[in-house]
Amino acid sequence: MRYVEPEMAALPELLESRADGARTLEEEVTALFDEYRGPLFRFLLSLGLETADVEETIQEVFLALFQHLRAGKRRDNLRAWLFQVGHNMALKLRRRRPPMALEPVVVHTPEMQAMENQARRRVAAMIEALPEQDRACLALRAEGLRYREIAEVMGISLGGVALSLERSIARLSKGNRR
Amino acid sequence: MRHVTDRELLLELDGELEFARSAAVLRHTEECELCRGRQEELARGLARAVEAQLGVAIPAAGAARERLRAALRPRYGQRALAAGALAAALALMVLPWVTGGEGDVTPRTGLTPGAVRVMDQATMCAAGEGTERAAIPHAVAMEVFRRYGIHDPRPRAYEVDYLIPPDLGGTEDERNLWPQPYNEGTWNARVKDALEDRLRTMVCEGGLALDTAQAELAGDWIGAYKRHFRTATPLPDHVAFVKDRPWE
Repeated sequence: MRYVEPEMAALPELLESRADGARTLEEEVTALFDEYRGPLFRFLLSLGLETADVEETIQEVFLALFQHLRAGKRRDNLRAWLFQVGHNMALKLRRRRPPMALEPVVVHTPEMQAMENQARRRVAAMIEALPEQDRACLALRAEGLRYREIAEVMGISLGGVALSLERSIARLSKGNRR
Repeated sequence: MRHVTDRELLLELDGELEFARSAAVLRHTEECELCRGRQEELARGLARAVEAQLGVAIPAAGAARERLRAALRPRYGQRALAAGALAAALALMVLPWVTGGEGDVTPRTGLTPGAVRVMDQATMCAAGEGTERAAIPHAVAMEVFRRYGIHDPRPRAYEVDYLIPPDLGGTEDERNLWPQPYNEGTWNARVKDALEDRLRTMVCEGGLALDTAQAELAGDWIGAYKRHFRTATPLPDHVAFVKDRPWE
């Protein structure tokens, strides 16, 4: 028996929008983007990525976050998760392209005194001269991450984080006496 | 008097010391000018690092934000697209209504293309298994039988089944319902129920995308069963599986 289709119901028309008003996954990811794009951006710059690569990496990080949340995976520390995934992606990208020389972009305000400007440039130069791991740990600490989060992001021990921060902060404080 | 190390001065500053040790360091720095001075120096160094880090200028977020939103939006649209493409592909195949000697009936794509509501995996899984699986009203069931050319259905011979079950996002729409032989045939309602349970578990454990599960049920569910259970014939447990009641 041959059967001829009498009608084709178009499935997309049947799709209903969410009526419960609950926050969608898309909205949640966008909210996290708004909160963490800046910190992630500065962190990835401190790893020596170019601006265009940073933008790309951040897109990928948040698309990965969407997949992560959609799959119902761990969400207990999404801040550390974001930095960790960003760090991994940056390292992968850098294996393809050697890191460029850091270009510390410091906010310049016209009223800033020449002395202060000079001091800032000195600090920026000192940070740039730090070994990469120390620089990354310092950037994460400056962005407000706890030591255990930094350890998670960098894949090193808690003691390793403390040692690294002690080293670079001591250098910044002592090497810049006025 | 034993002085405090740089390490502990920094940890105390950052609130990373356990309470008892933190109190001891504070007691010491109150009395020891040297250690207090060293801690103040570390605080200055830290402040410089924070200032340098947060002072880095970055491009405005607007365009990047819109790009991300655009990239996220099709995730929902894609399902509509995929389902639409699926329906279109199936529409090209004019399928004979398979009523083989074993009594197997497959859902006809023109009559039962499947219908789903937009729902993300988390909401669906949180709702719990078997929710919204209300009994199909008699009139709707009779309409489904009529559409399938079954004029005098024997009680208990069929389950008026969801092609995509509600706990996998399917709707109570005629286009998502079909008369499935309940006990007869090799690939009957009980076997499909077992597949639905397996797919739901996989989706909620994050092992399978919801839209993939829906497409598998709306497409070749028997093929999907064979793949997921790695068998050519229904497993004995599933033939005896009772989840949904037959139509009476």
